[in-house]
Amino acid sequence: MPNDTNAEPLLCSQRADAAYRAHYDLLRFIAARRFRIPDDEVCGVIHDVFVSFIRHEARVAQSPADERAWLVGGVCNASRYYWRKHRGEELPPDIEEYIDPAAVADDAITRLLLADVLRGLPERCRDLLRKRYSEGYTADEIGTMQSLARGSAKNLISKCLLAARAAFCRLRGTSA
Amino acid sequence: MPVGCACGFLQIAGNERMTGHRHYTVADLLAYLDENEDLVSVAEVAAAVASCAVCAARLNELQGLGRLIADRETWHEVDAPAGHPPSIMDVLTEADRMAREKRAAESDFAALVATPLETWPLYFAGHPSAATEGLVRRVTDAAVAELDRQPAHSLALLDAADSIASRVSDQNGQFECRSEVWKNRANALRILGRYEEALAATVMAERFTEEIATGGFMLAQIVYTRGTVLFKMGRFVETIQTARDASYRFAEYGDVKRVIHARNLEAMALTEQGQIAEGLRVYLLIARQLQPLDDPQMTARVTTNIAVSHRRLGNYDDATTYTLAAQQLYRALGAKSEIIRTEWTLGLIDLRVGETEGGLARLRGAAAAFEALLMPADAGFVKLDLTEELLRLEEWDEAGMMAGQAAEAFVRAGAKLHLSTALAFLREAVQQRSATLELVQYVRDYVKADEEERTFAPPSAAQ
Repeated sequence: MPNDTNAEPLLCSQRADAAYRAHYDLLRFIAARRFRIPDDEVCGVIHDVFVSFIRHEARVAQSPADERAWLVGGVCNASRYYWRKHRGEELPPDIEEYIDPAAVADDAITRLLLADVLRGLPERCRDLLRKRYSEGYTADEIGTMQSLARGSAKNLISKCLLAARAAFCRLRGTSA
Repeated sequence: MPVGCACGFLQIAGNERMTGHRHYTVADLLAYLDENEDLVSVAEVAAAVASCAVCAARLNELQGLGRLIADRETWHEVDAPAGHPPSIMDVLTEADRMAREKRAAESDFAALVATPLETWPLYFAGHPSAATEGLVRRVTDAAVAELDRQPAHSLALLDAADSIASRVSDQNGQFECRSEVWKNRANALRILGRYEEALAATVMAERFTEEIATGGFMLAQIVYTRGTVLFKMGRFVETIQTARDASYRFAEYGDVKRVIHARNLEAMALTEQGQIAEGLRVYLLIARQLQPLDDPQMTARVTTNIAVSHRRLGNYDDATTYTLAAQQLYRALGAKSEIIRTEWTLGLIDLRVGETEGGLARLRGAAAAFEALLMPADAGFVKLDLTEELLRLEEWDEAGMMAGQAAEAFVRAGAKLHLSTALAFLREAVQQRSATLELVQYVRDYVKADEEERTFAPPSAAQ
């Protein structure tokens, strides 16, 4: 019988596997948005952190909060390393400063939820909010762009914002 | 119309009746933020918000949401292609390699420990594939287990581990292993009293971590280790700085236990530097942080340190309370030597509050208990304290006998010539009735420092 070593099951860390599923999106957001790691490099950074997690597993406390904090700390440090290696020794101050992993994770989760909410809005609503709040157009300018009466644009924007907020509160489990 | 507000704020209808003020709804406030005069009077809302805490808080929350919606990063995320996390397969393959190496390392390690360390290179000549990250970790673990009992042997094992690590083909794995090995070399060298070499070892360990993307956690541990070396060297200002640096680094990983260990080191250095009250403040802070954690060893240690601080500040009641609490914790842990140490502390407190007989009895009991546990060096230090107290009482004969017993205890502990010289000098001075309390303290500090290259000179000559 041929000895097929590839058929052996992987001796993997179930803990790392579960943590990966639970936290990948959060870690991706932190690396990409907070530390501005290019999207195509983010996965590599996170995978390095998980390999390190497996190496240090015995030293990481077991609670989900401790595990998440360790991984967030790992991504922050690995992102700084990325900056030093690829963008010179001088790190921008916001990247170099020490972080509180719980606060960074909470902030990231909030932003991920909001992005989910905005993605779920009707396209027209999403566009109105983007133009008004991110691109900085006034309600009048948006009204002109979309051939709306001045008051209508304002009212529509208010309604969209209200809908976004209600959905956001629903996802967070708080009453709207 | 006032309604229940979301996200933490609940409108209570009674408020309105009591204050006569109509709390603005979320819709009103959003319209206000957008200066939508068609829906609200902007001036009226502005005035109400300025005088109503409920509306102001509600507005603040909405402004926070508005800031998040305005943030470009939010929209980058909205536009990011949705999808499942990429396959973890490359991570799992790496984990699989490590697990297999760990398994194989057991048999290689068993073969290696059966032979003298000097012959290990021969083993690798015959088994080149045995030089894996798994084996380096196995040897390092064995070395760490020996650190306190046989530091010299531990150091030899770590040297062997480093030599094996240099053959590990995966560069990341090699640097990870070598940073761990060199951090532990620093620990072994510290225990052996080779402080300069220990410091150099931490620098070497740090260099390895700088080569790896994920070296941050190891670096925090190395910085902490450096702090412990600096403390032993009496370089307290640097210890404080280094311990704080380590605690910030551990905090980034949410590692509360290690943060507490680092802060404990900081407090110890503050205390030794004479900032006893500041050290005590830090101890009390970390004692609170320890409460929800399952770390009985550290809780006992911090409780002891609080007791020592109170004793040094002259707060003898508090010192006694904390020492007894520490003693109880050590009893639960079955830590015999630490229980004796608490008796030693209680004895010193007794002496300070004038309970001379009780204090001397406790110190004698502690010295005998250390001897029974085959801890002659600790017994020697207690006997030096006894010598000092007997001198204070001008019990010259007994003090002379005690100084002699202290010297003998240190000889049994393997004291080298420089320490024996100092202790013999003290014994003779007591026997000749020329010893002073300052001389006992001077000799005690000299023995504690145990620096072989520093030849003993009596206080007058040393000045």
